[in-house]
Amino acid sequence: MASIGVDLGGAVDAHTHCYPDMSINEEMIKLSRMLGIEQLWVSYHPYSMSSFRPPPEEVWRVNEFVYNLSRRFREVRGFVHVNPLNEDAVKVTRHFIEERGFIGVKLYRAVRVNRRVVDPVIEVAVENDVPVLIHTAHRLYPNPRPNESEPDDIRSLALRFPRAKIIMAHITGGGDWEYAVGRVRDLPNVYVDVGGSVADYGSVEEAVKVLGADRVLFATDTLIAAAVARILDAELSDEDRVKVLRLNALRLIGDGQ
Amino acid sequence: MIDALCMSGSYPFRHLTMSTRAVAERLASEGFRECFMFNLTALFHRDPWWGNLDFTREETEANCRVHKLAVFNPDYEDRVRVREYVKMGFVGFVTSPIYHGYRLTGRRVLGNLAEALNNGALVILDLVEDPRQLHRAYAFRFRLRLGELSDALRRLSSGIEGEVRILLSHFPYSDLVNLRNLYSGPVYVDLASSQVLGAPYSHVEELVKLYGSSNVVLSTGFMMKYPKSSVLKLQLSKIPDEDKGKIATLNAHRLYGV
Repeated sequence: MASIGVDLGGAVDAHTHCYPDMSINEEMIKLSRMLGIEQLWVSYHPYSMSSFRPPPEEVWRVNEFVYNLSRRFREVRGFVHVNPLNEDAVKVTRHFIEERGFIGVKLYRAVRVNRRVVDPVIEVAVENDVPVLIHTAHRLYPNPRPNESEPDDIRSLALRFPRAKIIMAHITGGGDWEYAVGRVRDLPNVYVDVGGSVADYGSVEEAVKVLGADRVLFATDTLIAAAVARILDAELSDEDRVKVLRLNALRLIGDGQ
Repeated sequence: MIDALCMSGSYPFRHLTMSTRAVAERLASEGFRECFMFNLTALFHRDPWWGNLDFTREETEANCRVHKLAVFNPDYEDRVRVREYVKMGFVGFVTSPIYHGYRLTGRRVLGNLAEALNNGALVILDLVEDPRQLHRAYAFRFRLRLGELSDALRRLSSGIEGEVRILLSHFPYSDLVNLRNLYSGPVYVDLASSQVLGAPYSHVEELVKLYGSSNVVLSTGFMMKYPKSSVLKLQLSKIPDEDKGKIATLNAHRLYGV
């Protein structure tokens, strides 16, 4: 077979994870370098935690793990994993953003973001002008999970916090991506990442068509082959492809060029 | 490269339609010189005959040579149909218990599948899209159970002399791993599952270990999926170049006997 011959030109992987097994992280970094991915926005792998509602001490520990990883690998930039139900949720958010240089907040499946309990965490993100990456399920069938945010929950949060920079995670992570992008179409503070395992033909084009090229972010969610295939195969202009791969993410963290 | 499974036609649950020629030209632009293609529209018909017939009339002249596969519903069609499909030039048969709604272990089903297998390669298709986005109607469809699949594979392969030309396509990585505990006989698998090559990034190596480098083929699942996805899985894997070459070309030829 011919060599890979892929250079993503300093792309930003806006949604990925690290694992307790360091060999996996090293392999991910190696693959990323091979493909020309310049930044990885990393939070701890949620399935490697004790539950979707991890207790405070575990939250501190896993975020410290990400911090140490960011010191070892120049590509890694931290997203602080927060369980909004913990009493110290605001404290941990503030600490890792303001003291450890993390560039965003990651919310997983502790609680849906339509609940007011997440608001103090979002306020810290707004105050620090950092994005909030929200795990979102786009599956409509068969049944929703009680604490897992869906596009309508993202919508609710975005309307409550018009100044928050919200990333609706992995529209290509499984489910109905057409529905997902349609639900946030009119919300300029909502971005989507095209990470995840699903390589449905046309998914990236649909996101760009509905939301505009400025609100779509390249991401792998650790599934590198599918992610790279999506962005290379998508029928986009070169200008839009660079926006999705890199420029939108940099703008989001105030590193616009 | 040779694409061991791709498709043209229409997908009924979203706005996605592509002609055979358009699919072939796109694959050519990705570096494929041959492909094995079925008609997606036929897959969604209880009786695939008319969809297959339309497919035979579609122009195939393209820079990527098209070998056509018939969609076959062994619960609805019969042995006579198999022979007609062969006469029409199809080199293999694609069947999907999920979409057609049958159990693989039924006597009639197995008899018809055996007839298909005697007349070409047989592709057992698990899913062509992510199960989480299936239309509501499909929640009521059959799910392929590994015990049922392994039983069917044993029965189908027992009567075959020479190469067992069955491809399990689009099966999740975890299913392919677990299947090996139930069925150790010959069968081909592909890399089209969306799970392959996520962390820990050793899935392709594991599949090669489990099934042998001669029994893994490269299927893109295009037009449903971006074609580079499977290609990159293979390219980024750490298997020897010689094995990559077999997976990208030779194995598909052997599978389909072309």
